Amino acid sequence: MSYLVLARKWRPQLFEDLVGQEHVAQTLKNAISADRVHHAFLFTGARGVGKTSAARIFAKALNCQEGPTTTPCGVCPSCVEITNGQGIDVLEIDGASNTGVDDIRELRENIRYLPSRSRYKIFIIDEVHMLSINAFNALLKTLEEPPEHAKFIFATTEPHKIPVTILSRCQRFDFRKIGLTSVQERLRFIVDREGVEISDRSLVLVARNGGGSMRDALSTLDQVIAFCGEQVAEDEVQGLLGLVSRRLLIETLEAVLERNAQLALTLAQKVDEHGHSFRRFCRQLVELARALVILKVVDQPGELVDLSEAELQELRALAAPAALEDLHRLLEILVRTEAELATSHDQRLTMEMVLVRLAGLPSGIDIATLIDRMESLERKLASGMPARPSGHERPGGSDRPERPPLPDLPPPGGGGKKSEALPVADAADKTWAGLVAYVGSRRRPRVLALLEQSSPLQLELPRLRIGLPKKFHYLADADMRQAIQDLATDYFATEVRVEIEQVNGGENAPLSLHEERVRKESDREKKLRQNALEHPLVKSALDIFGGDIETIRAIDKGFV
Amino acid sequence: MATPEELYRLLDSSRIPPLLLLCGQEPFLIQQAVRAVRSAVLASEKDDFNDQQFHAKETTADQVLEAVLTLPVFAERKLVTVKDVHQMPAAEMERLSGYLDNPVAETCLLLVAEKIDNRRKFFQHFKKCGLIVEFKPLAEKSIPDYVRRSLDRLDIRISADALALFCSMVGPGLHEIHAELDKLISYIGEATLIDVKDVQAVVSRGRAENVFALGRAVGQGNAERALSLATGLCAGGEPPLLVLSLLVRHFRQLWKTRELQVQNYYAKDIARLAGVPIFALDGLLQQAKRFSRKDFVAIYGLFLEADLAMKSSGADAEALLESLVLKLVRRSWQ
Repeated sequence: MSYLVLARKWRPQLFEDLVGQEHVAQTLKNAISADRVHHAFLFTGARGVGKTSAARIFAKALNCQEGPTTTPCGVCPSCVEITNGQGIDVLEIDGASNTGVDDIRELRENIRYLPSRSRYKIFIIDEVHMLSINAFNALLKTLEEPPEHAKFIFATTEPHKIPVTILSRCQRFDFRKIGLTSVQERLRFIVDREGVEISDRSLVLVARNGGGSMRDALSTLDQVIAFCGEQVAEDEVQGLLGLVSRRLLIETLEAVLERNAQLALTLAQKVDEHGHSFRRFCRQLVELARALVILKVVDQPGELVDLSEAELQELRALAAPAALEDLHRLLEILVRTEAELATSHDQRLTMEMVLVRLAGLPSGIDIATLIDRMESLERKLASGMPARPSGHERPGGSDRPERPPLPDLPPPGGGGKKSEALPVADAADKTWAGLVAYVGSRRRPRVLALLEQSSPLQLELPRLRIGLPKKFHYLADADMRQAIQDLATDYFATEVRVEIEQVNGGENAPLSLHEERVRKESDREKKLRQNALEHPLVKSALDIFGGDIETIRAIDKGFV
Repeated sequence: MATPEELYRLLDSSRIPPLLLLCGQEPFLIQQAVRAVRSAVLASEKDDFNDQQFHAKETTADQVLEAVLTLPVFAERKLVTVKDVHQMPAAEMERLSGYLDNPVAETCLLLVAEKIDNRRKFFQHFKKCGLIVEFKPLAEKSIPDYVRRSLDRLDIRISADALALFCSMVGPGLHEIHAELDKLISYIGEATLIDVKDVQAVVSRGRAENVFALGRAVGQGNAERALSLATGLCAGGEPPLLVLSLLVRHFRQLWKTRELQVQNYYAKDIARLAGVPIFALDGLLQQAKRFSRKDFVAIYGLFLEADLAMKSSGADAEALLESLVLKLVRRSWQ
């Protein structure tokens, strides 16, 4: 007997054999047992995940001589015919080569007649998305009112190419990519029966090469068996698949993360010696770096990364000491490098330089912390508060600047109440304007606006009397008073009692900050005018041309 | 124009109008009505002699006239169905007009159309002589009720979360709703309660939902969900560039709604000005609160960067998309 490729030899024959598509198998089985079988189905999913197999099993289940059953016998004429793909009542049509409207018309002619010996006439149309628009329209009419004895099963990898009108008349099943472990288990099952000796690690390589598709994985296995015979060694598999050894990849990443440029360069040389393509090497590095980032962000990666448990452990250990910031940057640089390698004249040189650069990068945390610190300093300077003295934390100029000793700052607006308060001795330096600025820095816009309009009548701690003009006085309710009192207590670092009074404009209350600003503005304008009038150029211009000065605008500070 | 209920009452009392036109945008209901009419007119389920069907595009008025004027064979009545009448050329239609004044009592002429053009003489004429029934599509907000009622009839309960998830995943078309419900019912088998995990297992996701969910996951800072949705979309054959543009659209909506909210617009006006459906507004606003104006500007920068990289660098677009999602998630953490 001629050789049958593994993918065909081990094509699933029962619902139970469908790996990774349990949700589909269960639904179809229940539909058969409850006699609620829809008349049209659409199976979608990537290649090699079991769409056509599921369609055949389903057809067998419906037409089996034992009656519609969830476990087709596989020996009755109907089952045998379907398995061999030559049934009279089960028509497998390749949508890619029968795309025209005439093909569908023929199908419609055909559908009228009762099945010759089975229960149903079943049409399996593979790659249904290839049909022309007219063909779809012709099909639609049949789908709207199909005869009792007809069932349709469409399979496609690209459901979005199918018109909505067709989609809405089918029961749609989404086939998922098969997880690495499931593929590996199935491969193990098959190699055991085929009498091939192969290690688990090699099987993982084969399974991963399938990329979630069982057929691809089995084709790879075929190739591996053809190459290695009954005894398969791991490095042979690696060589055959053109994969850079996992050890080498992990060592490279380790070297980069430990900032060991020398080791990284040696490893790059090894890659070259083994004759691997640097682009492939970089691609695999990207995959690993991606896994590292994901492991850092997500606790239970599940289907996000296709890795076996042992590999997960290894990568977790690698990711643990590194900061997310660094890993993310590593990933980004590698992604960019992969693109650069395609156009690079000297791939080895490019790769080496990238490895050296990666190994030499300063830790991202330091930079982020520095930026944080600078921002907080800026904020404090702007609000007129003394910057937090950094002398305590770094006595006498630290000799290890790469360690980030500062804790993160509390977020603005929340937390850090009393801890920020300064010693009471400082309270003497604290002014009304300082309090208002402090309120601003705490992001309390309502309180800030009110304080800017009010005048400090008396500031003798713990007593703070505030005067408010009549039009604002109604805003100062109990809540507001409490808010001001809390903020002032924080600012002056001592208990403060706030009293709010109403003042009229005419009284000789001190000016509020707002009024002061307005007055300053007008002072500045007056001065500006005077300066301008005294300027020799302006004077002579007035002398020569005559006229009045209407407005004065400052053009820059030096001029005034 | 009559309502579907009136039609069904007529059919129940077997007073079948000789001229009947069913129209509307909900093919499921129309199909149901067509079946009801057929079983009311014809004595047996299958009657090839007395059940003639035409598609307006492929038929002429003569053929239809010939059919309606032929007497039924071994039966009291016959049914002539013409589908997609709106696609019939006006001239052909005019030729049918004559029949309307003088319909054969033994024949029921059933016309089916997606929509009717009231300016056409034929339809104006039909309104006077025959019965027109309109089937309106289900409003978005009445879907949950509809689903619950359909399940009640089968004595199956559905948890509130599962119902919400189901409705958010399935479009408003009744065909789709029923297909997905059937699948769900088959999946749970003997059980009588549908829960979230059942819905997640079998119900097919529409594309819009997925991308919206991705935006939502990013907005909520849920890295795990965002990443798995992004990989899921790419695995499902969506080009990463498309996913990116949909993400950009999502964030543009976030920014717009947020700006309008800051300016104290009413919810209704925000929805109108930002061009988002009102029921999606709350969700958007909640996500938008996590970002400041500065964040939005920075995020747009990230989008631009990713877009350029995808279009020019030849790097792995999926890796770029993932990296972008991670950056966005981290923005929303801050």
